[in-house]
Order: sequence, then structure tokens, then C-alpha cells
Amino acid sequence: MRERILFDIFLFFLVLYAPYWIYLPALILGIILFPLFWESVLFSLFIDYFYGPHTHSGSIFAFPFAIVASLFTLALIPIKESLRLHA
Amino acid sequence: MKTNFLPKNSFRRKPRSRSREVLVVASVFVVGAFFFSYFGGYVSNVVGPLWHSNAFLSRGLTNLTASLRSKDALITENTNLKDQLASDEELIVSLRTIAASRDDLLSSFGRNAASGISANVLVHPPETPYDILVIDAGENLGVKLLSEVSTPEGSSIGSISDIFSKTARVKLYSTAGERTDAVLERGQVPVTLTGRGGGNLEFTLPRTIDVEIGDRIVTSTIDTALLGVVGSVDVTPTDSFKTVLVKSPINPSTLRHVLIKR
Repeated sequence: MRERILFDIFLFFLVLYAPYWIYLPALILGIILFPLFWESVLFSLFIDYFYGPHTHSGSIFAFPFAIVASLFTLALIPIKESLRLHA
Repeated sequence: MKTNFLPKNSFRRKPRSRSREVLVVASVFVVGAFFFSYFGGYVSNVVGPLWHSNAFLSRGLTNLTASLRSKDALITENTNLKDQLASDEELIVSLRTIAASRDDLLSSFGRNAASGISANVLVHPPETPYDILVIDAGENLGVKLLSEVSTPEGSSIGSISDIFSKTARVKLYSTAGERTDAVLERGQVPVTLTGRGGGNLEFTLPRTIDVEIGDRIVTSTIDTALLGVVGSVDVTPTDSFKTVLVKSPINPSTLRHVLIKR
């Protein structure tokens, strides 16, 4: 739990200060490492809102990256479970 | 006694319901999208000072790395920059004459010379994956939606796409898919620029129309601000059109100040 919170803080500063080719792979790494990394959806919404080219008129399609991050998070859950080694 | 534990056969187990995970992610998305759509301005008030500190820290880091460079490299760079500065000063003197003539011409049409709101760039590519800038001027300074944004030197670079209380978002003309009306200075040919990202644009022309590398592309408005310079011309023998690639006059990743026209 502590590692997750620290990673969230680290990722927040990466999104604010680092180039996209650093924070996007870090976001994907978080989705892979942590179970049900819902924070990725929030970070993706932040990236879409402040860094995206779309005008935000209340439509969910103004957040394309958040939609992709949500689907990727959900798609990775059964894959991560099948990769686990059961004793 | 040795005991072997066989791995569980996942095909025998019933697949676990994913409804809880889907509900969590969907809820976070919906609540987050609603929050950012209607209360995003408050978030910009929180992160705005953090972006300001980034600009301060990056300048400090640049000075620190510069102090670590060798003396010879610094002397060489200093000499080159002095030569470049002397050349640019001479060019500026001649351009000032042209700018004065342009201002007189605009005045004769009842238009004032460009005045606007100066703003610092808080976030630029590559922090943003698109050609988007975040500037430190918003509603508090009277910034209006779709206002034209230019560099202090006069090149037109984009327009205001979103306004917050103390910050605003600028969409550059070079944003992928963005279409902008412009004029090819050679022959005064109207063209439609399409952004390709990374400070690059393109347009197509019939083969018969002349265009050379280095030709200027200007805005179609009366002040004819510079939009870009032709970088290359692609034409195939069988094609009746040619694709012209245009470089933006500015480098979005090094832009620090902009002017928002009133």
C-alpha cells in the first residue's frame, strides 16, 4: 500500500514535469505492477484535460486517453491473473 | 516423505466475475470526467504554481549544467553566439523599417498595430504529447477563447482553445489534424495548412503552381503574420498535386513567452 502511494506521488510529479515519453511508460508500468490501478484513469483524465487538443464540452469523447487507459487496465486483469504461479 | 503439489488447473475453476473491477474503473472514469469538465479550473489553480516552479527549476538546472561544461567549449560557443548576435542585430534594424511601414499601412486602414497580453509558457512539448501550450494568463487577464496567439517577434503560432481562471491552453496550428487558412507568399496563393505535429505543417498544391524551399507562408489576415517556411516539396511524376511540408518558425519545446492578441 505504501509503495502504491509513493508511486502515485512520483507519477504525479512525472506528469507535471517530465516529457510524455517518460510519464506514459511509467503509467503503463503502474497498470502492470499494481492490482486494479484505478489511479491510471485519474492521471489519464488529467493528461487529457490539460495536455489534450480537444475542447472539453462535457463529452466523454474529449478524454480519449482516459478511455484507452481504462480499457487497458481492465484488459490486463485476467492476463495478470493467468500469469501468476500458484503454489 | 516427499509431497508434490500440482499447480491448480485454471480451466476447472469457474471464471471469476469481473463486475466489481469494471464498476470501480467505470465509476472512477465517470466521476473524474465530470469533475474535470466542471471543476477543472480549480485544479488548474492548484497545479499552476507547480508549473511556475518547474520553469524556475529548469532554468536553474540549465545554469548548473552549463557550469559543468569545459572552458574551451564555452569559449567556442560564446564566439559563435556573438557572431550570430551581430548578424541578427543588423537584420533587426532592417526589419524595424519594414515593421514601421506596416504599422503606418495598418493605421491608414484604421487598424492598430498588434497589441496584446504577454504570457509565460508554463508547459510545452514534450511535456504535452500534442502541440499544446499552457500559459499563465487566463480569465484574470482578459484572455478570450479563440484569440490569436503569436510570438513576441510577430509569428502567429496558434489560438486559445481553453481558458481557466489563471491559465489558458493554446492549440498550435501545427497540432495534428488542425486546419488553418493561409497564403503562400509567392504568387499570393491561398492554401489550407494541415498540422502534422512537432511544429510541422503541410498543404497540397497543383503541380503547375511554383513553390520553392524557403518560401514564406503567411496568415490570410491584413497583418500577414508569418506562419511557416517551406521546408520541402514532395512530388511524384504521376501525381497532379504536390505535397509541401512547412516548418513552423518556432520550436514549441523551447518557447518561453507568447503574445495573445486582443
